[in-house]
Amino acid sequence: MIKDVARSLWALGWMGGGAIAAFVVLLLVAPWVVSPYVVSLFMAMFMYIVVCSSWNIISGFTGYVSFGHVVFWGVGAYVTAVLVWKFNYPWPLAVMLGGVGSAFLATIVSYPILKLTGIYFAISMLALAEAIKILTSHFRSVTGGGGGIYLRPMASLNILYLMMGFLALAVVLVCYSITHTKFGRSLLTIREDETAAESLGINITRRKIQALILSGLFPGIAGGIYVMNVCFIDPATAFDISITVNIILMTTFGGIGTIIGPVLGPVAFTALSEFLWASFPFLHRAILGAILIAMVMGMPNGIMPFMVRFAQWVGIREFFSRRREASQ
Amino acid sequence: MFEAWVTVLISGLAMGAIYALVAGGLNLTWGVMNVVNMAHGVFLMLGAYITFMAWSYWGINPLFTIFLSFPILFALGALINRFLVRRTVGLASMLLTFGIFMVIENLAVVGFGGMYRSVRFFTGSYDIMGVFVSKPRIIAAGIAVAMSLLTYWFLKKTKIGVAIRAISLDRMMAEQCGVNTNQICTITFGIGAAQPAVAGSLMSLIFAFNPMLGRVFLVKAFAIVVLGGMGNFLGALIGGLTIGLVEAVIAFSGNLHLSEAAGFIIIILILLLRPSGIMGRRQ
Repeated sequence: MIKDVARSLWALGWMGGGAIAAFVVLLLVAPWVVSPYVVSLFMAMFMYIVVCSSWNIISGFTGYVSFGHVVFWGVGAYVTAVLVWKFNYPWPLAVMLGGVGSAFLATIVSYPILKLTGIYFAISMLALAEAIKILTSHFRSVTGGGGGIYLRPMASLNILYLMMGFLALAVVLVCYSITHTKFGRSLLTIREDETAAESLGINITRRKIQALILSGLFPGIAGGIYVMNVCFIDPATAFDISITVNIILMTTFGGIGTIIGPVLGPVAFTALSEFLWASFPFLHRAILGAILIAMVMGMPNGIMPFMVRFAQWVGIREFFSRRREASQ
Repeated sequence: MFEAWVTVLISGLAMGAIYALVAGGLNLTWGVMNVVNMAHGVFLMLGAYITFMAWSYWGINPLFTIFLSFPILFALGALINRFLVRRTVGLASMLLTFGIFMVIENLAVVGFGGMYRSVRFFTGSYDIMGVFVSKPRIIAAGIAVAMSLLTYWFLKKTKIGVAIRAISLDRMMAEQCGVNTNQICTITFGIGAAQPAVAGSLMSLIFAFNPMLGRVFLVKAFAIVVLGGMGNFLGALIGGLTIGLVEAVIAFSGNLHLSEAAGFIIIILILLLRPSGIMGRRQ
């Protein structure tokens, strides 16, 4: 497994390594060049890259489309906020424990919920998110109830921005390298045909559970970083169904089941929604809805077909192709 | 104490009857067309606003406004199906109808404003030997049950109903036997939009609402359909009554938040323990 990962990273080559180095340099330089507004915009973008890439692990690679992925993000944010607010944990530790918390939730729910497939899985994830939203409002003594939790500002924007940026890089690299491991390939096999995967000797239950836990871990950390930045969290924002829909929308736009798709989608949509928000303050949600409709009707595979043509022309295929080797 | 419990049970069942009407429409589109309609919430909200408009501007008796909200939303649903929904199934339809939800809800906020409205036509309650029955609730529940049964009769006895049930069994086979599936699906989606609208019209009699009314029912209606068994029409009625009852009982025991969560917890439990619903047969 480690050998596979190392080999996959080596296979990134000059181009991939150069892209990563360029990203790191830009990440480090940006706070000194652009305004804090743009930095926080970047931060939101990185957050969606993290969440979309994680969603892509369970929904794109494994084929279990989750309609409640916001629950992991929200639980991570809440765990961090409660640890800092009630127990005075140092915030970096609390952020990490936010990830542990959401991975723990994924572990508990994974076995029963992954028995369901297709629409039933999607709907029960949706119900899970709504149920946890209401339970969070209910247990006032722990979570502060419906009024939410206010935190003292503790970390500077730039530090949180860098954390989010490196987290995004890490998640994308994880997604990239798991497709080169046996684990990743068994996920792709499960997506294509579960019965066939089982008959090949893949322990599908265990693989699916691992995929869901991995997919729940990173949004939790991202939620923790988010809450340290905003210093406020309440159930309505933490478990908002629009975030789930944004995740699905962005990833579909970029290309489900690809590695670069969940990066392209957030980049395009953060810019777009910022523009819409500024230009049409009252109608931006309707316009986003119209874009969602147009996308489902017009280009169900997102911009990938166009990107693949472009990539073949340039000569890099690794990042763009919807990975299908496992089934062939 | 006994009277109090009976009061709570009746009010829960009345609410459940309206839930059942919302879920009935969802059940129809899901069972027949394999389209998961996330937009039923806004159809319900539009129904409530049609009643409010007709009552406050023209002074029409709110009970008669269901004869407005049904055809208007039937037409809207048919149009949406004709131009959008017809081309998608399953998860894609879930995303598509959520897009419709976002558009209509946002336009409603801009058009109607965000303030709460209410239709105060029936007020007060009947006092039957110490049991209080709220007038708007019981009237609305009666109409809701009648409407559900009417749809049931429509599905069982009419030619179009038979065609709808044939499609839900096997679409290809139905087409082979000469059913115009596209046309029937358009009718089905129209009914699936009109039923929540009637429920919305009835609900506007009971409580105040704003354009966000649909959000509450986004998931609750799924809970009812899953509880009753997908594609099982009487199941949706029984599922609706059950959830209304459970919510009322938990709320009366002093826990408003948990009563809201009941639906979602039921959905997860039912899917895990008995995926075909309480009325469905095991597969």
